[in-house]
Amino acid sequence: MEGFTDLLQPVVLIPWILGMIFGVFVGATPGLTATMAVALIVPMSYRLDDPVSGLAMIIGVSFTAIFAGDIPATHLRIPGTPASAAATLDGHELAKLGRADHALRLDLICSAFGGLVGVLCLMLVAPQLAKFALKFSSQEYFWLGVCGLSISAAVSQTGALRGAIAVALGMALSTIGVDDQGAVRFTFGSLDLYDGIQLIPAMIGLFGLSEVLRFAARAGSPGGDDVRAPEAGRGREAPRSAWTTVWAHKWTAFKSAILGTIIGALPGAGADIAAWGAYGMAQRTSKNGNRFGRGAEEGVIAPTSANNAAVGGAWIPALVFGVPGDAVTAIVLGAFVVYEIVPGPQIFERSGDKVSAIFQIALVTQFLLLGAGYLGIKAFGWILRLPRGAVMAAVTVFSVVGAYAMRDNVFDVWIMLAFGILGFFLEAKKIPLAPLILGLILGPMIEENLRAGLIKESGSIVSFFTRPICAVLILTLVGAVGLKPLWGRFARER
Amino acid sequence: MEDERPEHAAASAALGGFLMGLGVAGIILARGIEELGFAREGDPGSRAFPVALSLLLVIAGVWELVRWFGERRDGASPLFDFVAWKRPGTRNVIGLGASLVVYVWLLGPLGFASATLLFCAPWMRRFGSGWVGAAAMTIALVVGVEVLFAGVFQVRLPEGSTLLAIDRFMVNL
Repeated sequence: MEGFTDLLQPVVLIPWILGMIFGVFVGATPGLTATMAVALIVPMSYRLDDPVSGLAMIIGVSFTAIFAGDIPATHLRIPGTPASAAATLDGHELAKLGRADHALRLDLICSAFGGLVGVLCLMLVAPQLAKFALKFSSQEYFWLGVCGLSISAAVSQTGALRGAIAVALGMALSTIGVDDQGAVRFTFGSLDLYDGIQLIPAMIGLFGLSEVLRFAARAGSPGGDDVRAPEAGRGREAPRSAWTTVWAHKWTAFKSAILGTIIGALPGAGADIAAWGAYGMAQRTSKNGNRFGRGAEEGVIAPTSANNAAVGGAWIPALVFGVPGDAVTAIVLGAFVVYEIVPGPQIFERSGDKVSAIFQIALVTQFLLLGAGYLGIKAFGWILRLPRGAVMAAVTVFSVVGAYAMRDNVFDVWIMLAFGILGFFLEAKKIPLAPLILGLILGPMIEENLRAGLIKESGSIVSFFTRPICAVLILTLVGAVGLKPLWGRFARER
Repeated sequence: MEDERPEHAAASAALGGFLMGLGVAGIILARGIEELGFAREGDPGSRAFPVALSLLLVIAGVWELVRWFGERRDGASPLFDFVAWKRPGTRNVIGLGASLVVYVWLLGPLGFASATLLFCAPWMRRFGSGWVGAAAMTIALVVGVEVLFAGVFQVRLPEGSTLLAIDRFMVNL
């Protein structure tokens, strides 16, 4: 990748912008999620001749869909993504006062600003962390994986036990295929399973098809899938007033973006926790803390700055250690691997040009987000009028074609279907899907490093506890899981 | 809403049974994993991790069932909720799940376009569109996907072995 000018070539720019519009559409449609948007776009991106175009498409969607989730959250009090839940409180209150467009403009500016801070932190921190990570051995990687899975289980909204079940299920499914020693496990004689479960079809099933099944279940219940029209605005405000408001609360936006980046960088914690954390911090430090929850502008600025900053933050452990922070990053990471970008401490030496392209794309995306997001705000009424049955039929067909297109293999469509049904069943039983995906991704990393560490030490497990970095990671793990009541409090207090 | 979810979900016999079944199957099937001869000292082997995870699933399943028995005494969580099976939502899910299986199976013999037409139009009708509208939207969807994936992204969508055979037969005639 030579520079910014290459990104502005039509061959890159057109799929990038189309991808962002797709992200706006999916994110802003009540019931469809950012994770689904990214999972559905990945198979299309692989088919582009220029890898930079594909990367731009994926990165564009991942940032745009998180913002777009705030649009139904503000108008209808239906968060498009879990990361939008914190913004719902004051955003929707502003909408009820006839200031929905103002709330969404604040949201858009802060999402772009937060994303910018997150990406800049990523660019500054990741290379330094990669140098430090060269000191990591099997034992440290084992604990990193365990940290990621434990935190993601601990912060599950339906309880740590449900999160732990999801992790165990994901790890169990990750043992399918040929292991690093060449042993064949649970393949039932199918050559298609030798490489294990293909991540992208599995994720399309879990986050795309399962949503269609949930829609079918809701469609049969009285008033189950009724989506109300947006509250009518009582007044129009000049777009400039949003910029003035953000400038007046610039420090809230900045602090929230930094906090969002830090929380996002914790393996296993995601943008939703970042948003709640920033909301709580802003409320405690604001002079108008008592107005939070009743239409405070800071109540929109803080969570929306944090949730997009967390996307950049989550890429720090993802790129340097291969440990994704949340489901969206997990899919993006899976896509990077197909582009031969292998995460790890040597990523900057081995794939320096591609990583540089990723950074540049992520930076420019924040500016493009302003345009794509504004389009989403204006098009929301139209999106809401689309027949829901037709939207869900399109999601089903895109899920089928997306899974098939990965390897031109109908077997992957069966995998997608199986995971769709599994995802529907598990969510009905309050088992969260994000920890399952992390278990599926981190399971092999944990097993391989546990075995390698034990072989190095002739079967002794002592080194897993006595190496200095391991000890720090164990303390971090204990601290993060111990702070779990605090994570929960941010959500429940609201 | 995120903040309205219960902190601890009610126990479920179906989930407990599923986890236990999966765990037991994992333990049994793991016995068939062939340990390769060049395993080194200290290596727990290829069976150890799947067996440990399967055991965890069994424990989680048993725990879920124990919780369910406890809650059942209070009159909650029946084993089979016959009322739920009669709800339209449940029937929708079962019908959609079954037709998805048929749809994917038909991709091979009928190809993408025909299988999608057969799958989508009835479901759009079921979810509120008129027959004409459902057929029009399905055709638009199929054409759109064909143009995007086959035309732009060069994906060779399934063409349908049966249709190809009929096509060849007609040409030979």
